[in-house]
Amino acid sequence: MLVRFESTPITVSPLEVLFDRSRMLPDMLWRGFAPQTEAYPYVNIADIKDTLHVVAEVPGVPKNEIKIHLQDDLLTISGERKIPEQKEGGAYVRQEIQYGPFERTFKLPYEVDASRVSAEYTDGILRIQLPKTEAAKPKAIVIQ
Amino acid sequence: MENNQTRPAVRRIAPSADIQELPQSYVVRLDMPGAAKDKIKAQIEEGVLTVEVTVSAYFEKDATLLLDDSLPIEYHRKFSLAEDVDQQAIDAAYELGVLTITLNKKQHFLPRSISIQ
Repeated sequence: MLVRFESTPITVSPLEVLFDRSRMLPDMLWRGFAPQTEAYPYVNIADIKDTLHVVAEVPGVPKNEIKIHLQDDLLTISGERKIPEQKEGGAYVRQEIQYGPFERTFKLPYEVDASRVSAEYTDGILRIQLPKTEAAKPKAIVIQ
Repeated sequence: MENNQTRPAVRRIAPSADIQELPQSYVVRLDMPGAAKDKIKAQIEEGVLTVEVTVSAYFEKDATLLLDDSLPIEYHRKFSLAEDVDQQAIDAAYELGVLTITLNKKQHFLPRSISIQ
């Protein structure tokens, strides 16, 4: 039986800063050619109408195995992708999918309202919505 | 000067695959998160298994993207099948964003025990 990546974590979790585009480039370049090697899971983030929308690709992980942690302006997505149950007499002839624990942390660009954060998981996609706090929203200042 | 640079309409990705051989079948697992089950195409033609599906962009076009791209993703991968695969006996299931295809082996390739008379 050939099983790679069994015990090693999928990624070391460096603190990722949203606006650091130099970090984004290798992800985009490598994605088309190679199996996941560095940052996992793949995460896409958009700011839509004062709400951060985070979309993470977490295939093969049941939702109760995924943890979302928000502390101050740091959002952490972690969990573990377990190796599917092996059938007797089975042998891998190819293994590209990586298994094991994963964790990614992001520094959010603004303060979010933790009480209104929501998350859902469908077909391997985790979607998290983090609304901006009232205090962080831009305000018009009336000149006296 | 006219700008001839065209932006690709999709991001084409070869999904990561695991292939496991069992005594009576092969099991292929493909990571294709976010696909609509009825949109996934899996077909066999001339000994080649082709799997493809397009996943809609994660965000509206006018969203301010802070990380990654707004293009739809096209998962596409082909596999040449071994000669022991029964091309008429294939099952597929999609769960948690993973497509699992089971390719059964042809009967006459299966191991048999021969009883000695």
